Amino acid sequence: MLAEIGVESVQEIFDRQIPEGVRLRGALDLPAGLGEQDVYEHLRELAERNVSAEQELSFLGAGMYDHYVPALIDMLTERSEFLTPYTPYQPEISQGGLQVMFEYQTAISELTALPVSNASLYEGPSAVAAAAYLAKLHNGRRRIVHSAGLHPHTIETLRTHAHGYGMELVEVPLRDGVTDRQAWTRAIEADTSAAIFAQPNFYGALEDAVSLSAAAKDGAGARSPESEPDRQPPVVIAQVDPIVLGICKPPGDCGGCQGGSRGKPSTPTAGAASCSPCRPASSTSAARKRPPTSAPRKR
Amino acid sequence: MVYLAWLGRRGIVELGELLLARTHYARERLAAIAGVEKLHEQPVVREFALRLDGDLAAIRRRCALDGVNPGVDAHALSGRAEDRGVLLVAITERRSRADIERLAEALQLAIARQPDPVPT
Repeated sequence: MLAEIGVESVQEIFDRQIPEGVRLRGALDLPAGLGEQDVYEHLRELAERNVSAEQELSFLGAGMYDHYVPALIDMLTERSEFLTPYTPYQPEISQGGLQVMFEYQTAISELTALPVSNASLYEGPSAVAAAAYLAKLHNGRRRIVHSAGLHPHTIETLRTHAHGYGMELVEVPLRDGVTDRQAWTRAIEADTSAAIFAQPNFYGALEDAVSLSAAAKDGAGARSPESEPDRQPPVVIAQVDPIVLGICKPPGDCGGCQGGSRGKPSTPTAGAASCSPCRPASSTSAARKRPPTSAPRKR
Repeated sequence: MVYLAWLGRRGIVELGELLLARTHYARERLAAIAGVEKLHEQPVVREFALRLDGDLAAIRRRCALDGVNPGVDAHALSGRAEDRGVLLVAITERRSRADIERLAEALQLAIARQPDPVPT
């Protein structure tokens, strides 16, 4: 095999690919091996040094929140019809999974006042990136305008995805804690595909969602030029924490088109509050035009 | 989904109202401490940002000694210059008024006790 690819040794492959300066000389500085029981003791001692969210009074947030999770959630979700169906897309043996996805999508559609809800994305940042991609498919434009009030991880994820599908980001700063409406209106131009803000924003402030949506749709840059009377305004995307939808106007009632949100962070376990079963939702008017053929499917 | 069903139509409204009121109360309570400044008067829910007078890392370490984790260093996540010294405090339904009082006391002590000794 080495002869086939034209090298003398395995070492030569490393020599050709890895720069001299970063190559490891000699073995890693690791202690000698331990028996299983000793490893267990060692790891247990290390684990005991952790402070869990149950041990201290925690005000940590910024994306993960120490919410109360009632006992009935574990009791119901661990039932076998949800936990161990053989595969979720064979309806005759997975009614539990399909039913729960349908109920979830229905609840999220009601909460967001949007006609369609997805139920198979990873977390908030990926949901927003997916929503932005739907906007690109919808109108074919290349610019994403986003508020600086998005979570930094959302902005990073958006940037990574946007690079992949040939779009560029324009950030609108905050003013007095919320998205600067004038800068937002100015930033939205003819080639703007999507305009994105978070509700509440990263710093916890409630945005004037109605005003931002209206500005994105009626702003000078969003208005149709005479040459293009049928031109559509950019897609407005709101990343919402579903927990505030009981008190805030939902995206569908703000003149916005899409909501990219993720479900409730759940189950504070050891360490900081974790958000393992995040259930993101992304709904879109673009999707309304293209019926989601694979809506309730999950890989 | 199970959570949403458990909460119900009234529950999600009540939870939202509770978070709105409690977050507002916590911001006003903490902003009353010398060396703590709120960034704006906008309504906040679930979370809010405060600018602290002093070394944020040292203040967080001090609070941890009292068993209180006061929140996240916004600059550590955003990298924005204007977020230096900004603490993000999250309020959930699990944090009671007494918890907020305990945070206020820990924060007040931590700010007053500066500068921080070398951590061990």
